[in-house]
Amino acid sequence: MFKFLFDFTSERVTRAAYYAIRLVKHRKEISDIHSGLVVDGLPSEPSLEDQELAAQIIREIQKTERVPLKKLDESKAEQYIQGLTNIVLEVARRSSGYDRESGEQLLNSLREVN
Amino acid sequence: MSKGYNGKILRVDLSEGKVWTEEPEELIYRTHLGGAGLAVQYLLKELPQDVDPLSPYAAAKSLLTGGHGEAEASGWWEPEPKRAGYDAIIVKGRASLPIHLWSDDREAEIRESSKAWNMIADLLSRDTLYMADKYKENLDTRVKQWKLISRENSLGQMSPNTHIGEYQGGYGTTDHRKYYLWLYNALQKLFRFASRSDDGLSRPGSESQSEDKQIRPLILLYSANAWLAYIIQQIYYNEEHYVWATDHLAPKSPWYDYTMPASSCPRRIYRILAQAVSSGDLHCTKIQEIKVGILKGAAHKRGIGVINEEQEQEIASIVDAAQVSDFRPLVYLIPFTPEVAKIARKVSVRDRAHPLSVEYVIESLPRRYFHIIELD
Repeated sequence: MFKFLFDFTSERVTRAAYYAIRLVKHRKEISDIHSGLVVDGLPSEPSLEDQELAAQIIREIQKTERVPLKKLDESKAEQYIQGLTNIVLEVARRSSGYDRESGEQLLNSLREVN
Repeated sequence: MSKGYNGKILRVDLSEGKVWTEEPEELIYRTHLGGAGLAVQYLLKELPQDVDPLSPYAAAKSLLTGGHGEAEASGWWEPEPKRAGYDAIIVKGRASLPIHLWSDDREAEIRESSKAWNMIADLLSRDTLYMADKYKENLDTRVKQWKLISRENSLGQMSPNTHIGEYQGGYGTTDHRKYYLWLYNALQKLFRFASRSDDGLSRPGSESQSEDKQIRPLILLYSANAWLAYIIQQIYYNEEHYVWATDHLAPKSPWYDYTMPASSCPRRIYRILAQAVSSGDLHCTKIQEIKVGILKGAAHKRGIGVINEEQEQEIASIVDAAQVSDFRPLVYLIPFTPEVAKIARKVSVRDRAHPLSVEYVIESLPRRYFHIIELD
């Protein structure tokens, strides 16, 4: 699922997946899924390119489930959100080569700050 | 000075954080009878003609008409300033943080009251009513007297269409929550006309105005986040935080129930995270969303030069290694000060979770501008 995402940079995948997750999460609240959920004027919001990649993700979900996104049931939505998160982390890991062990050490130091 | 007067007026400047007393000439007392008379005297003497009723300079200006506004209060706390030695208290300016005015036997000072404010915010999120006990435990005697006076016995009436509200009270209950909720809603809607009626003579007046001036942070934004997202922003982004906030912690009010979808409700988000942490559910979708949100934030911060590539990798490794307990929930309480208003972007109707909800995005909110609480 979503294999096409591995062809893009980690940053693009992260931004597009984040936006796709937002669309999945708010699927029942927004009147028109294609009108989007982008807050105008914020630099951190997804670019048009990111939105298009997110739309590709949504199209794949709809094609697989054979329902409009709005009718996706909760358990399926949760599965897709989990799957997208895993892909984002996997792409980031491949891209930067970070190791989880150092993450645990850094995390421990952050816990001590608190 | 005799005949019921102390000959002293307490002056408070919230903007400057100063408290002082002044002694008006006896003639002023003789020619300006009662509290209303004194208020008119100061209104004419100290305020420009067209001052905004909600500005830091206005007193006794009607929100509805822009002319002379007046409210009468009664009950237990109202004689207390008189017994403390003051015929009147004049408050001007606007505090940048939650404060309360402490006074006892001709002494007065401005005191920080984040703790009290946290309790009010906490209270607004509660299903049960226990504010009185909280205040008993935490506030000093004088404030206790102010707040423990229980008068409310019915929910206030408000009309969103006419911008008129009145809170009807009476003896015998300890339900402060309803009053604060009502007043809070009135303030949020910027009602031009609102009052509380309690045990004594009272008439609709400018209570919303005075409350707004004295405890301005009642106009507050709320946001829920996970500890991990908070600490990363605190450490890596120079204590500047990305915040998506709303004007309600939870849709407890009948006027807001339908305007706050669960997905944008800070209280609901808090509960989801708390449940995930207590059950050890690392696959909770909210946690997944936060993980990706942290990574997306890191990519953005690297793009604008706040962090470097190595730091972005560190953040990714931290997110990957995070345990479910690292996503324990926090609530941000953001007093809607002028400084916050400048950097908050109101989300357009098109982009809100509900067209009638109130939502703000703040991309870089300095840590000093908000408080953090953890709910039970």
